[in-house]
Amino acid sequence: MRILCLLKLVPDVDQLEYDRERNVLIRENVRLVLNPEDATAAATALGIKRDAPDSTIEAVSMAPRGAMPHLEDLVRRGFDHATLISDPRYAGSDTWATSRVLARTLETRDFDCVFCGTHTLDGGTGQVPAQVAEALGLPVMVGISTLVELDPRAGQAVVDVDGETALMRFSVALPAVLGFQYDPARKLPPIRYEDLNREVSGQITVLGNNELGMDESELGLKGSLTQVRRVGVDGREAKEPVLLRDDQEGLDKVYRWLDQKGFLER
Amino acid sequence: MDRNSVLELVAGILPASQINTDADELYDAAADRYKKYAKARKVLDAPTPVAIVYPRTTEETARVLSMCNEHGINVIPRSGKTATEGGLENWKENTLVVDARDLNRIIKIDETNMQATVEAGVVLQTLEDELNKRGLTTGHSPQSKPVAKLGGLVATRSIGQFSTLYGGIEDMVVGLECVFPDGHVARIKNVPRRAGGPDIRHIVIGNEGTLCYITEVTVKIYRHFPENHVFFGYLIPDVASGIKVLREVMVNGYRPSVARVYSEEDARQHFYHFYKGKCVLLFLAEGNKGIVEATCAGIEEAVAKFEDRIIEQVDSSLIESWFTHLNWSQQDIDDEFQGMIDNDSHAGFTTEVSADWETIPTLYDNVIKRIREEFPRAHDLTMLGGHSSHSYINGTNMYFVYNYAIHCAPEDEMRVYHHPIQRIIVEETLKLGGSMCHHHGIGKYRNEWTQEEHGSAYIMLEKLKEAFDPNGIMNFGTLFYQEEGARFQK
Repeated sequence: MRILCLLKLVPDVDQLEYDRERNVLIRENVRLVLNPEDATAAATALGIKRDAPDSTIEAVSMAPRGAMPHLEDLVRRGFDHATLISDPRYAGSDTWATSRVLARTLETRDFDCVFCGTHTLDGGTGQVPAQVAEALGLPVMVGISTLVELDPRAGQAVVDVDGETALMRFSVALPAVLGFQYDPARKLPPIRYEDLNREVSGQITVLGNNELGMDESELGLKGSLTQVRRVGVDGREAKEPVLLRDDQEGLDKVYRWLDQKGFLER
Repeated sequence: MDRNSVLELVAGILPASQINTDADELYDAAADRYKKYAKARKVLDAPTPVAIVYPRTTEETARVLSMCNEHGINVIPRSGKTATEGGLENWKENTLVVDARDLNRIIKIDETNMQATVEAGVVLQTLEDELNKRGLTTGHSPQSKPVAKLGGLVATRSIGQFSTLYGGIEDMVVGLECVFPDGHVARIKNVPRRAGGPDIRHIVIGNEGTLCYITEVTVKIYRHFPENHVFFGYLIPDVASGIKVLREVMVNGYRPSVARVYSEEDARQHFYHFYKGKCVLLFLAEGNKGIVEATCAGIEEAVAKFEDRIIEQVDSSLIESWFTHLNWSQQDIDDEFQGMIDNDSHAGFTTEVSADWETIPTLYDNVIKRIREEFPRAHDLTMLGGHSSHSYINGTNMYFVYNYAIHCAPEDEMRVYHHPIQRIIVEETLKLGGSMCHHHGIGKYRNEWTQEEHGSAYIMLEKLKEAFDPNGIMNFGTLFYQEEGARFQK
């Protein structure tokens, strides 16, 4: 079984900053973390590899070069290979331009299935899985809570999708793009102590546009269909802090405030 | 000797109600908060002690120690269980944890001579509450005050949040009683001062359970004027600027009870609602009205002298609010423990050092630079910063604070994350002539540097150990490096 995982490294939300002149997220020198839903996808792939060691799993990530330690860690956790797609010309890509680059990369790979998260912390549009699938001409299923079955020989995957009102089971023809929901119970395995400093550069490929050969007009801000025209700060005026004591009056005020904001269930 | 034989010997001294062999409690007693994450994840590598025993009198304590001394049984003195540096971690198969739980009487509060005598197992908060009812205070207020006990505080040379006014525990202890391994009970009498040879209190204060067991403590007490508290807070551009203001206040002879400088990263943890991405400088003026007025004037003078380094003053009620919620409770400790079970993370680590005024800004910058450049898992750091929180006429401390996302197995966390960071901090501090250990005690994981810390004076420490604990039964591995214990450190 050959699984490709599209994994996005997102800025740590606690440190997220925005370039208001260029209207892009500042990704340089910001601590990166693996997007939680992508981590669930990666953990699922590693679980398959653990149960079927002859499977091959590869991580593919489009990110700044600073993401390299994270890709090294993924290999040390058990990925057979990792590909970092990194080129300054890709900076500022929206989901459309990003999907095109990812799809171009995937065109060069043989695989039975593509795993990814459904949403990302820093964008949250959920557009990339569908756009990549469309570009590759593959079916896509997102919001997956459980991978029930993955059988490339039979050419199908069976997945559960946890909708807001019902749990639905789908059969998806392979190869396909499968987008996972975040599952805190499915964690990435720890890196073994002996592997922490294991040399893995031979298992990591770095691709830029010289290798992918995409037209400059398809890249970065130029290739993005989404153009941020204006960013406004909405409702962020400074408010005077209200200090309360831990007495009955303070508790009553907090209770009333929570009630007014609709946090309390009746 | 097997563990059952040890139990039989203890049973000959103490009734069953004072001997605890509950498996969960013994697991908990195998390590302190140093290996909190491994402990929470149930992967501790330290052996469990044979039993936890609770002597009720000095005499019982003496009999237990004497028996252990005779039979070569390791003793870990425990009182409060808030140790953070491995001082309570067990490295021996045959170990008794001697807990001061039942030495819990407040013996005397002497308002005339302004001193209070308590047994070692009295919780500091309990004593403080009793004193507060009478308008008095110990002046000692570590974050662990609601849980920490007097014996442990003295044994680890503790310091409190008001130390810049009241001093560390070593400035508060008047006299004490302790038991040596051979069963000898030593009482150091309570006098205002004496020139009767070296100050023998200091053999006991900070011994970390390696020389003797503290059974009773007498500390100074002070009049308490919480109604006079005045708080100050300022945003400043960098740590060095804050250190300059702190120094100015101190060298002019003022003693605010709290005087602190936080780096931006550390300020973010505590003052996210007002820090604006800057460092924070803060003070608390405390005492009777006249002293508070003078202290306030001194703080304002110092701030005015360095006004080019003050970005803005902060509403003092914000500092007050922060300050009144600073202490941990047992609930906070329990919550953190549960959090470590549920998540691959904990509330972070600290390493506290000290140096003179001239050195501390360089030390801070060097350490931060080296960690960012040399620590192999720097990309996992979620927080790295520090604060100065205890100042003196000649210098101050630096409390390095750090946290990280844990990507290794729980049993490897210390050697992958904390130890390499701690090593950089300790190396850099010793290189610049500072002390690697300001107030947590050396415990078991900085003992490889104890000799370097003391230099040519180390012989004095070594001779104390030889003299008072010739059989080496007291808290094996704490303070003094032991080859046999190195396997737990790697």
